[in-house]
Amino acid sequence: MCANQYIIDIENVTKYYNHKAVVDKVSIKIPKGIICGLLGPNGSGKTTLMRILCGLIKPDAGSGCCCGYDLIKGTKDIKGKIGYVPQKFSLFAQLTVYENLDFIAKIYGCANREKTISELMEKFHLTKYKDYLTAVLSGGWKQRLAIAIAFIHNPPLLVLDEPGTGIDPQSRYNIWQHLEELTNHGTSVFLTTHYFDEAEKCSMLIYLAYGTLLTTGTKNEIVERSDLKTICIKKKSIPEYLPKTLLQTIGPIEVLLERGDEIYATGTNIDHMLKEIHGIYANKIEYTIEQTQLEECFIHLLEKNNIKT
Amino acid sequence: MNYKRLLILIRKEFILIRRDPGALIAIIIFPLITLALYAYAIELKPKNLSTALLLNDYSLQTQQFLTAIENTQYFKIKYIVRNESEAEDLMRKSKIKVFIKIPNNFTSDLLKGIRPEILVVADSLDQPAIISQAVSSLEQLKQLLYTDIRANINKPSESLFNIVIHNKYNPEFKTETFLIPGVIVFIVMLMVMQLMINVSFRDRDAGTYEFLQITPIQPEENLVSLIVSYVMLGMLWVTMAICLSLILFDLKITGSILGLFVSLTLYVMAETMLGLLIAEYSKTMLEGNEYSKTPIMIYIVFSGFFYPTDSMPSWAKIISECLPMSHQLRITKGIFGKGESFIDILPELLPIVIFIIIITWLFKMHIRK
Repeated sequence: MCANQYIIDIENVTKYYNHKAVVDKVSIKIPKGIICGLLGPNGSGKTTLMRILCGLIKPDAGSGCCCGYDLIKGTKDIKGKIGYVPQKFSLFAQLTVYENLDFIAKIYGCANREKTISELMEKFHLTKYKDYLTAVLSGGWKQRLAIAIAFIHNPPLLVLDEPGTGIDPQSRYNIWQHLEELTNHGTSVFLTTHYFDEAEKCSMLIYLAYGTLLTTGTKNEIVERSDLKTICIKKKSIPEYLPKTLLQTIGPIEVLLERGDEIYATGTNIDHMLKEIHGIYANKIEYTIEQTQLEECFIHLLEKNNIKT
Repeated sequence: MNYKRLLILIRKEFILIRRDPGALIAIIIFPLITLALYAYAIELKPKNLSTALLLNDYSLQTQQFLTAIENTQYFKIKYIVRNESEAEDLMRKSKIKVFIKIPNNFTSDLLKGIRPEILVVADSLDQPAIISQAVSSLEQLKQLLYTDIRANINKPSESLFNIVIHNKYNPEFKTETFLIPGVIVFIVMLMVMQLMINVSFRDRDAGTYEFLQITPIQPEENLVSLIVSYVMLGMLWVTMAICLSLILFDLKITGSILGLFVSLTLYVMAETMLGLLIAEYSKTMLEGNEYSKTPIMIYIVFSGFFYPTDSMPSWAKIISECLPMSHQLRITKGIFGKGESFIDILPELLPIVIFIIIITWLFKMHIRK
């Protein structure tokens, strides 16, 4: 058992598949009681890292602790301290909500099983669905049930693999409320996500790309560290004879994204960007200077590290 | 119907088949191998039936008779016994299909023209039609043998000896007597093997298997729970099938009921684990279901239920001996029809246990990999 103030503390963790490092010398320290988001392109090693942290697979190199237990020697103990919510609903479709909760509660040997289950059902608003087969629940309710089940043994760490994928915004909002409530009571949450709105709700972010850790920190730290500035241009203000595609020819613009009626031009040298934009569009366009978003930061990080998605 | 679109769909299907080499092997290669096995192994005519001989009279004439028997190729004398009870014991243990007894005074009676009787006892519990065909062929020998003696005693057209045929265990040649115990063994194999493949993929595809790995449940606990559950389900079906057979077909269990249920439990376990192993080595459920057809076809050819194993070449007999179904068929028929005790079935139980151990080992090897 390793004693420290971090719920996850790993150093140079490496995992190979077919002689290729899918997780390459990753070192992270996640404090207790926060929501930490792991982001990265598909196939970047997020699930492998998550499986290592859950004690499902052992790293080939490196060391570390999860929930106070060694990643190599304490895998059995780690499993007992983690509540896991897989990306795909993995509970028993032909059991009712109550039966699923009861089954997992028995597996964990929960004391006061009945009381724990009814409290959890109350907390996650599942009581009215108690006798429903889980097969008939909607995606959002299934995800709530999955979180309730993962939390049944009151684990210090909840691990969620893309909890918001495939569910409606209202359900996502409810799930995030539950997660925030759990962290208020001291539970640590570690999740993967592709949604930047979810990422922004995390107290700490980790960006992993093809096995390599590109950055960690809070949203503001990552944005500040990136040294990027963003110009938000109103699409309507761009004259027809000067198409928006001309923006792509402007060298200092490193990331160009469209969001609705606006175009976001991001780069490290804002003066140079503005000079070039004025050079092409003169004073005919409307723009504002805005704080750079995480999405731009991560795209910039990928390009800076020559990583092609 | 748009034929252009139809062609596009067919082309797509063939690309999918080509990209799944496991399924391609299961769909094309395995059935070809099975076809070859069928062609080389199956012999519908009676051939080399295991025979025990009680020879109480050694003479040139008895030697002639025995040579004639072997020349028919229907019989292969594997055991020379000293008395009838020894032969009965061999037949009860399914070591022999036919027992021939040549009496003490066979030669002297033959020479005197007093027609001696040769006793032929046939096990009519197993493949009765085939055995009956072989035994009937002995009648022809009466006309072919001893023409010189017949001429000497002026009875050239008469046979000099009688053959008394006794059909043991199923004298009325009742189909259900030999068929039902075998059908139970065959169906339960199909049922549990297929169920295990489907259940394995149900858990794998739904992700429940991975989810349970992150709970305190150990992988082996999960596997054992699956095996125990489906063995119990298989045994429930077996019990119902046996009860139904006893009521509807008037079958009787003449041997050890404990032996029957112990052996069937081990057999169902062996087939359950085989299903689990097939699922473990398959990437998709389609592949698993296709792979499972191979052992089923092997069982049909080599287990002795559909085709007599006595008539098969020796390599096929070795395969037959490796199959738990071959042993379970003998156990079940033995307990139903021959009154076998628990001790009698022990030698047949051992190969089933060895089969379970091998499957477990193969399973562990794959899991570790």
